[in-house]
Amino acid sequence: MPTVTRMSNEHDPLRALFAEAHKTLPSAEFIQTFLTRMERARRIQSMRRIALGIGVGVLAAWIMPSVLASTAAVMHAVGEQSRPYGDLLTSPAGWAVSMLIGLLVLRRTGALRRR
Amino acid sequence: MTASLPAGAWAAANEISIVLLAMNGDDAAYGELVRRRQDAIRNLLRRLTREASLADDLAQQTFVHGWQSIRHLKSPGAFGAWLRKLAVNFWLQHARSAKPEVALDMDLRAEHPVSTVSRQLDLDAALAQLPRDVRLCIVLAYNEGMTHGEISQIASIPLGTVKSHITRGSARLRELLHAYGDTHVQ
Repeated sequence: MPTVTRMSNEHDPLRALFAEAHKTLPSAEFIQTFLTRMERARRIQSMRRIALGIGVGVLAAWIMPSVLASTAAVMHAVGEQSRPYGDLLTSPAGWAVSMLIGLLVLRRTGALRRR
Repeated sequence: MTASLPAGAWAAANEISIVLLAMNGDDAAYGELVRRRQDAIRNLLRRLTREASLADDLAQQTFVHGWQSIRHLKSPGAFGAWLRKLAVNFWLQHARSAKPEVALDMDLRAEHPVSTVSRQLDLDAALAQLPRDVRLCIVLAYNEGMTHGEISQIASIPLGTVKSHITRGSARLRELLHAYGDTHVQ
C-alpha cells in the first residue's frame, strides 16, 4: 500500500459519516476564553522574567565583592609576574623581535604581495 | 494586542502572511489564526475525546502553547499541520495520564432515534470503543483526510502499524455502527 493513501472516496459511508459529524461550533466564547488564557500566560511570562532579573541582580550583588577582590588579586599577580617580560618588550631587542614577527605575519597573509 | 492590520482586513489576508505576522510577535494576527482554526481543531479533539468540554480545554491548551512557541515554527506554510500535531500531542498526553475510558452503553441507541444527532452520537460512541492508537489513526484518516505517511509522522507510529490500525479499525467501526443501527455504514 503506498504511503499517500488518502481516504478520499466521497462515496465511502464512513467518510460521509465523519463529514456529517463535523459541526460549525460557536466561536465567540471559545475565543474569549483563549484571549483570557493568553493574557494570563503573558502575565506569568513577564512575572517570570522580572523574577529572573531580580534573582540575577541579587546574585550579582552578592558575589560581586568577592569577584572584584579576586580579580584585583589575579591582576596584581599577573602584573608582578609579567614585569620582566614588559621590560623585555620595551628594549631594542624586544622591538626588533616584534617587528620580525609582524613582518612574518604580513608575509603569511599575503599582504606584501604585489597585485 | 497590537493592531497591525485594520480590523476588516484580517478576513481578506492570506494565512501565510498572518502566520508570518504572528511569528514576529503580532498577537492580533495569532488571534485571527485561532479564529480560523478553532473549528477544525475542536472538531478533531471532539472525535478523539468524545467530550465537548474536555476537547475545548485541550484545544485551548493547544492554542496557548501554539502562541508561546510559534517563533519556533520552521515554515509558515506548515502552520496547520503543526497545530494539528500539537493538538494530537495534548490529547495523547491527556489520554496517557487519564484512567481507561468506560465504554458507552450499547443500549444508548434505544433512547435516541436514528437522526443526524444520534448518528453523530453513534459515531463518537463507536470511536470510543476503539483502542486509543486505532482511534487516532481512524480519526486522522477519515476526519482530517491525512495519508498513512502523514499519520505515521504525526502520531509517531510505524507506517505498517498505521495501515493495519486503519484496516482493522475501519472494519470494527463499521461493525459497531451497524450494531448501533446505522445500516448505511456497511
